[in-house]
Amino acid sequence: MIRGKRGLEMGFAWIFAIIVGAAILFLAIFATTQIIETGKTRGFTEAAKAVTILLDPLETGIASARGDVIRFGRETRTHYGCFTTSSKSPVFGRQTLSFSERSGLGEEWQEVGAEISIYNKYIFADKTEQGEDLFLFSKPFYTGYKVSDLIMISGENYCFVAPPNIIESDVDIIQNINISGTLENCPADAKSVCFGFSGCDIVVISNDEYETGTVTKEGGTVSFAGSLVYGAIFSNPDLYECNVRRLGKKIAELGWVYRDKIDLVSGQGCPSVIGPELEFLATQASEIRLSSDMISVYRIAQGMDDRNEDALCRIYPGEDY
Amino acid sequence: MKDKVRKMKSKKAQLKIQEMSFMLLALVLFFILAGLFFLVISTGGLQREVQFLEKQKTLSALVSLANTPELSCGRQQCIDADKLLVISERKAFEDFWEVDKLVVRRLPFDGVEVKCNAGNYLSCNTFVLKDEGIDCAVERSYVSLCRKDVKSGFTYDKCELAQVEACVERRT
Repeated sequence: MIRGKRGLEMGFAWIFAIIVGAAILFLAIFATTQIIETGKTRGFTEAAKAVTILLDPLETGIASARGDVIRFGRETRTHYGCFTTSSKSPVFGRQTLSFSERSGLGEEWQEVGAEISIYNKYIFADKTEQGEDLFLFSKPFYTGYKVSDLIMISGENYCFVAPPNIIESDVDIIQNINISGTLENCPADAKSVCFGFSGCDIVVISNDEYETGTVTKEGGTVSFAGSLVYGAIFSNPDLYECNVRRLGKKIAELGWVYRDKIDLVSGQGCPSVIGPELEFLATQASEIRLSSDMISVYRIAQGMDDRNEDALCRIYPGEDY
Repeated sequence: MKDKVRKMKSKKAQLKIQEMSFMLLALVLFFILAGLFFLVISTGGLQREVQFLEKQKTLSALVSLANTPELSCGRQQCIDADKLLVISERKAFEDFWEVDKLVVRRLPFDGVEVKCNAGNYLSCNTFVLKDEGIDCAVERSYVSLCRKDVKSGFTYDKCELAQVEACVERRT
């Protein structure tokens, strides 16, 4: 560099060094940022996959319900999606799960990791669940035969106001649910759920001891039958309707399986009279479009179940097996 | 004389520029090599992590499989052989299982695989739910395999010991 009387004169070498140096610095910073971002996305994707693995032990088997907690140790968000069909599983559809974490500095929530697809589970949750802990609760769903385990996921606290005994005993195993006699006794940070009366964030109404009914939440009303009451309480209404349609397909497919099983075992001294009812149930279930359609399917199943229970040779083990 | 000095100065400057260019080139190459090294290390870790997660997934699926409503006979760790046969022949369930291979073998298995279908149902030994025919690390679990049978006019559940084999593709 040469200092003249009137100013500063820079040689080509200096200009070249500054431009190339700046370019190298920019590239280095850009590459580092990209590597860190990729690393985070990778971590979140792995976490989402790990959560799906943790859902397998929630299969109830012969148990009536199961509860569990996933502790992340820091504030996290899990995001859920639902599709009634998918290229890999056109009949049963799929659900998606992705994961993100609160950032230490900079933007508050980091970019969400890749979505993990789940084909054989029915997860009922809000579209985004947030918290340091995720509370899991699984309950089998029957339409005569067991259709699937419904998995309810929540990050928030709930307060069930005056629930019926059957629901109170079911949710006894879940840590984030308080039971209260009145709405006033509910914790301030908890979502309130009223059974049989209005005034809460979520209102459950039924005329047949909570066998079937409706749940009003976030301005929308959905219908439930059997253990779907928990799905309706914990789930976003759109996700719920999507999962009910997926369950309809599952009821139908299992119905056809049991129908074919009748043909197989009737030759081995195990005749059954429920074949036509199974066919009717499967046909109706495959046409479910709204959660209210599930109630009629549930009623058909109850009639069929009585005949299966009375038979000498039961085609499927029922709820009270 | 002045020309000679100017020429020498110009040569010196050219030499400096060349030196700097080589230095910068070396620096860029160093960063590229360091980046590649980091990528190789992290990709290796990613592959291990993927394999670990897939093994975990296979194991957890294997353990819970006999309790799923598609296969369960209604008791703990028990598969309904009648349903198993029907499901193995239904197209809708082809991609239902989140593994690449899923077979149930009646025990004792003599090594000669006889795939089950409606015709040989009582004498076969292998129910194939899914087999993509790929190289994979197999995990195994034991279950009871029950089917309806009749003896002296009475229907009962005849149960045998069976082995469930599942795996996901080995990624190298």
